[in-house]
Amino acid sequence: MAILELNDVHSYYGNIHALKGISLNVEKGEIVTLIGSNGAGKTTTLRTIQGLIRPRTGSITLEGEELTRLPAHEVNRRGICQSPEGRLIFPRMTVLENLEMGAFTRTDHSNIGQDLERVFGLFPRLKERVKQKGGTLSGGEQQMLAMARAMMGNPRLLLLDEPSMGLAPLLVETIFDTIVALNKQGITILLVEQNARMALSIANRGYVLQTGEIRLQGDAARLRDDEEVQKTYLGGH
Amino acid sequence: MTETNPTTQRALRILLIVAIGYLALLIGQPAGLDVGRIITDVATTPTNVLQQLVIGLANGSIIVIIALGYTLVYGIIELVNFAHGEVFMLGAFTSLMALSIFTTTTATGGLTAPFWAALLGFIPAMLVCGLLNAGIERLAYRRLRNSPKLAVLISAIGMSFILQNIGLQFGALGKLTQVGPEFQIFQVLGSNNAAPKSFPVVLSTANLLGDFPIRITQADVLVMGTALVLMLTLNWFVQNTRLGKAMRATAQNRDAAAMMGINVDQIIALTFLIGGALAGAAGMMFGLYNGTVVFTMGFTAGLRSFTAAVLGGIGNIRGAALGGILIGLLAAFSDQYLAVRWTNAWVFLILVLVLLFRPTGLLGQESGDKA
Repeated sequence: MAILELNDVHSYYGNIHALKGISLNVEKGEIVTLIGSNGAGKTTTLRTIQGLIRPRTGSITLEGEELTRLPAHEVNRRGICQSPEGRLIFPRMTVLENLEMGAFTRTDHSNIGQDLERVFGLFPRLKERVKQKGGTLSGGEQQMLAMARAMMGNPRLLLLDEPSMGLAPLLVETIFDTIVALNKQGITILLVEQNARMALSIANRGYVLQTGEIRLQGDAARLRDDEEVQKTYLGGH
Repeated sequence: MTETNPTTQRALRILLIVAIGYLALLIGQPAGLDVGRIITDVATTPTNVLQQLVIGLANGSIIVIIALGYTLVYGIIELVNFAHGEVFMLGAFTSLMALSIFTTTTATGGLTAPFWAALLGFIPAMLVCGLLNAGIERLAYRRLRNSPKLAVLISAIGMSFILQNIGLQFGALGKLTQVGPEFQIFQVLGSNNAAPKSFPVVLSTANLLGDFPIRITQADVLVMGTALVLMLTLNWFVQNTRLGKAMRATAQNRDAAAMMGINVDQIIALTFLIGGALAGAAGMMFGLYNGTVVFTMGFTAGLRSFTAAVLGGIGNIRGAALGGILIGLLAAFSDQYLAVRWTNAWVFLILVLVLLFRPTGLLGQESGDKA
């Protein structure tokens, strides 16, 4: 059974019809990517899954359990953690406090220390800066912190929104390597990216969004070879 | 905005400050700003300066505790809770009622209550005001959370009118004493709704320093001590506890906090609860220190505390502490050396000047997440 399933989801920003019937699914252990240009509805899809936007119609289920009308904090408690667009780290809290907030709802306190070591293993840079305030980190470090913070929630499904945004190419490589490493540890990932080439190179499957609708879907390798995708999102050749 | 070079800008600013200073000297005369008299006063009784320092610190402590309520709420939802001063006023009334249970009439006809009753009285005052403030949020602010800020602000002003009228009508309960002896606890309210109510005498007015020309009474020590304990407790709570951290996270980024599984509505309610409880404690402190409470006192206290919060940097807990002490001192020295009836005008002037020249306050704003 799919871990996450969206069925004909419609979301609005005020009167703007932002998602026009999104249906998608994510299977356990997969990396699934949502690609598309600015304003296609990628972030809106993640915000709707998270419960920050309430869909007008349609349903969202997590392993069969209905999430559609739940507020964001309840969605988090059911195991969906997000590294959001723009990172949204807590700028006046230390790196350690940011990570603690990631584990806010957990009751298995004995495992939290272990997970902390795990994210420090993935992001050694953060360990060096535990006592530093989040707002004083560089862009790349903030991105690492946002991902590490989401990891601290021990998610069943990890949502990553534009983890490569605004980062130097070398850092982008590191971030994508980490995403693959996370996936190898058994974490299911839904990845939103503008950097379609990178996203499709690590994903199992992909969806192409255009103005709030799913335009194409399928195996990442097949999408990469698709003529239309190449022309529009991979900059031709 | 036209581009001017920084030197011109600085020159203009200095000129503006000089002009304001000149105007202050000119029109300050009727407002008590008589430099000659002030020099004579200070020269003849220099101990008065220290005395006002003590009074200013004590009143400043009360202002700090109220200002914390403004600053906590502003920090988390960027709302100036105009009803906060009235919550403080109702806190003073609750304190008065809590004390009235233990109030006895002395041989000379005055009202008195034991010291432990005053300490015990903090509990109902803080509880009632905490719940009241959280109730106000639930009733008047929560459903406006996604409306323009002006809507919430107007709602807050409306709430303050309602609360002030509750304070006025509350005084009418004093009439119940005419119904029967079982209503004796209402005798502290007197027979006139609107008149100031006297707090029973709880603390000795003797000078703890003996014959020393500067008076420090039990009330001074109690008020400053309580304020210190409350401030340190709040600071510890916000810095170290799980809920305190959730409060900070919510203040810094509400969406991110919700993504972490923090129930943002609950945290906002908790913030109002804490702010209200502090206002309730301040009500008791005010009553014990100043001896009388009146239903209009929320306005003055609110103005001074709000100014204190803005002066220190609204949203910033340490800023509220600094601003509160400074405003308390300003008020005390203005009362002594300028003129009592102009003190609020000076406080207002500070508010205007801070908003004009340094809107982030002395220690900087800490609210919102624009980083």
